[in-house]
Amino acid sequence: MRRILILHGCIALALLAIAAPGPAHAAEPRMATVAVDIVRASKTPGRTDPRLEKFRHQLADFSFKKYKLLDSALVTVEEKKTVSVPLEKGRKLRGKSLDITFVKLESDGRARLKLVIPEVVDTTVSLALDGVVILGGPAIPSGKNGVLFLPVTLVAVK
Amino acid sequence: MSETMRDLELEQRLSAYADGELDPREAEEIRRVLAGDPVARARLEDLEALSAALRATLEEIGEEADLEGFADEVMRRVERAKAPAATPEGRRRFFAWGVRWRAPLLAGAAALAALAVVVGPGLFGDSTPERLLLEGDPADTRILAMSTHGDHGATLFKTSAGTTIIYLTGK
Repeated sequence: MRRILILHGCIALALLAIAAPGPAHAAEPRMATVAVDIVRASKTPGRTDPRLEKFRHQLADFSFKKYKLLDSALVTVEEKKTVSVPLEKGRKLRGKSLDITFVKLESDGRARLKLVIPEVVDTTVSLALDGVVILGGPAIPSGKNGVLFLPVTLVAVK
Repeated sequence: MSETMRDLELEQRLSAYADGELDPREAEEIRRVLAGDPVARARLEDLEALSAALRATLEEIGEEADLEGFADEVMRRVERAKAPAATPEGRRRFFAWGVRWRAPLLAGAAALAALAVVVGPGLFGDSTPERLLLEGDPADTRILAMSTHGDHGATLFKTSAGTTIIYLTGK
């Protein structure tokens, strides 16, 4: 009998724990998942990296002949926190990273992101889900080998 | 003449030189400046790259663009984008760029859906986060604030597909 009472007590406590709006649940941070692609665009005729098909429309207005994906990163950022995406592999900018801060989740479900390339640019954008903003880099010093494009896509937000 | 004014004047002349708009005497003066000034040479490279990107964009979009009301729409967007917070210094700089680019833009007449605003280094450094600088596809992307550092500048594009592009210049 005593065992049954203890068991019932445990079940009741468990149910209470599930039903009650626990503080840990309420404090769960919002997260944004952001994809960053590092793309080199050049006028040299050649085959465009098939992995960049998703950006075909976005880059269609430019007259570059070839786009090459140098690197990709998928990062998850907590609200009010910052993550850095290194640009070493495709670095043609003075800055060595793209710093992404998830400023806040807006009322319409957009994510407000602050994008910073140190010593180069500091911008705040509002992206809907699957929204893209592209940071195009300055010309590569030779002036003939193309420029960098850094498409930043909001992949998920919760 | 202040250093800022000299820089601005040189920037304007370099821009004109990059566009092939200087007469032979002025062009020769610029070549002399370039021969002895690596910073000016670097700036010219930036301007040429930006000019090429803009022309390529305008030419390609222009082939398919509906030009009706195009120029008015572009200028309306530019005015809307710059009006709220540009400082007097910033405004002069904006117009310096705006005038430089207006002719090729209107001549290219095409894609002006593609270009919203060209900014110089730090022009919108005093932006508030709530101010809309550029709306790409309204359901997709909005640029709320932007500043550049050092000798970097930026051009905000909206392509014909509505994609927002921040094109950075400078070394």
